[in-house]
Amino acid sequence: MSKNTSPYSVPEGYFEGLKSRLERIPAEHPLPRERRFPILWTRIRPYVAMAACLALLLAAGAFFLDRKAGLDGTDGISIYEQMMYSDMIPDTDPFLVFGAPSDEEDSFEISDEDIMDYLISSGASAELVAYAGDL
Amino acid sequence: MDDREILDLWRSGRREEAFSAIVRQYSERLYWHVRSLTGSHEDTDDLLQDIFIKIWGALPKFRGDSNLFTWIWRIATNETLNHLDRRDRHPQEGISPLMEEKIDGDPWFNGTAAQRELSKAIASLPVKQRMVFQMRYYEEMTYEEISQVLGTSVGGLKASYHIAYEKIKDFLEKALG
Repeated sequence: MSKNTSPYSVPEGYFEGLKSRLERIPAEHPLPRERRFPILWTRIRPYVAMAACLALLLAAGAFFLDRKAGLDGTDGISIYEQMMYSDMIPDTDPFLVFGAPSDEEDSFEISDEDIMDYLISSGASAELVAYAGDL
Repeated sequence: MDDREILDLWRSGRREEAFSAIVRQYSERLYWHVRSLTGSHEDTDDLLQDIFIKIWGALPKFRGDSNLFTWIWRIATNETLNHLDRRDRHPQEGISPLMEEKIDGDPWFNGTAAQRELSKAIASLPVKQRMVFQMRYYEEMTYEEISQVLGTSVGGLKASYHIAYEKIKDFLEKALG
């Protein structure tokens, strides 16, 4: 102890008996075996949760956009496809205005009248129109 | 064997050997620490068994944030305080009749009459002051060590020790005349 001695004492041989009694504790109270899986799972759980949230977010986003496209589109063409096509094909193209086949026609046939209409609208010369009318 | 060697033993998987080393290193010193707080050999003997079972059970969770000595003392002190709460049932100031009886009737007390009165004076202190006084006066721990065990600032501990000293002085003056 210290220079300020405790006035207490212990029975003879007490500490030897105490130590041997305390050293038996591990045998009398075995520790639970460490399980590696729970520790690993505890470590990776936040990352798995983050990945699951991201996947859920992507799935919800894809579902939402797909549904929106289906609602807004016409004739099975999504609004994005329409936007893309409108950029690629100018609606001033005379072929699209006059030459596109109608839904009612089973086959694509060009009549003389169609040719004439096309020539007139495309600004062809009078000689060429006259020539075509003579054919 | 020092604390670092004990912990190396533990980490190498030789757990029982590490625990035995802790028992050999600390059991006797821990006995006096607990005995000074309980004032009873029998209570201390029972408590030490519980304390070391707790140490054994908690060792896998010990991460070395504090040193081993401080960690063990903290477990022992908390366990002893819980025991005193249950036993004395009045943590307020003044010696409990049970405590006085234990000091007067202790067959393992071999001090002088003045030392017996000193024991009573210490036992009459509030538990926090009692612990500070015991650890500083009998165990000669530094204020920094006591601070780590009790989680109190060094300034607060010095104040507690000073107040405890004044109360003990008053108690002894009245008791011894």
